[in-house]
Amino acid sequence: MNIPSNEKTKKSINFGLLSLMPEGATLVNTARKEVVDEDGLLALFNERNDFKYISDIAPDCKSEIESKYEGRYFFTPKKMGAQTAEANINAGIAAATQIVNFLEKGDITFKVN
Amino acid sequence: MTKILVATEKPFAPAAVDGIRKVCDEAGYELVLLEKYTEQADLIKAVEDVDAMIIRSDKATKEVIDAGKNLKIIVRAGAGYDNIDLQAATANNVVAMNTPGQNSNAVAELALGMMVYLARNQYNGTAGRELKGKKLGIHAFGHVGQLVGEIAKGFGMEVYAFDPFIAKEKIEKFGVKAVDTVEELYSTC
Repeated sequence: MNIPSNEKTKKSINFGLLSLMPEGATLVNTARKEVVDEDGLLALFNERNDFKYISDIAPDCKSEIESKYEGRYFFTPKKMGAQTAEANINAGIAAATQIVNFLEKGDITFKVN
Repeated sequence: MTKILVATEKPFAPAAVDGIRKVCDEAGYELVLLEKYTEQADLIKAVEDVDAMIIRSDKATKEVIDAGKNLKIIVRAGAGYDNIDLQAATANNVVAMNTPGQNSNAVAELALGMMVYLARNQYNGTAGRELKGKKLGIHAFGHVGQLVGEIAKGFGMEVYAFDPFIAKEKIEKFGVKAVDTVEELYSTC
């Protein structure tokens, strides 16, 4: 699950949706933690001992999950998705190039506002 | 001289800074580095006289944007841009951009790596499970989702996807099964 985080998607991954997952399912979150409704997440952990959760960055309810659901989760200590030299180089150079193109040519291809 | 600030609480790899410096040098711009800063006040001070700013997960708040008297553009080196106050940027005539797709392979590889790690019981010596033959649902089929699908197929997974903004026909060109609703995706995988 790699949805963007915005007003429409925050807490949209909720108990109702997660409870549809088949037996033995694992949710893998590479998006922002805010898109997951943590009350619903905890409820599902409690209700289904087959459910597992992986997240690139720990949820706010990390300590409760760690204390109750050993072996059913993995959280990176920091957001790690973009932490490779290759990604740093790609994104850094793209950012600098976009700035030059904007300042010199008015190019707004990747404008988000 | 046009000044570009690279403000990174969590710095770029040195090779990335070298690449940014090269782009700046070729354009005749001055590169200003603010790395591993611990106070938001440091960022506010650094942005005061620059024309452009590159950030990673750093917070471009209203206070930061207001402080950038010459600031014309902020680029978030990455896909998500919820760390930029877009309203403040627009109010100050500052263009905000992201760099979609540039980090995608790193995210996709991490996703599969974490799946293997947990499926193998965090390498604790007990028998885990394999990914081959399992169903993988991809919720959002953008740059990352497409690469996750490609790698997952290499593992022999059965890949499904849902994205409300991408036509099913386009998703299926990637050799994955497109479903109609998010509920269908979660109940299938």
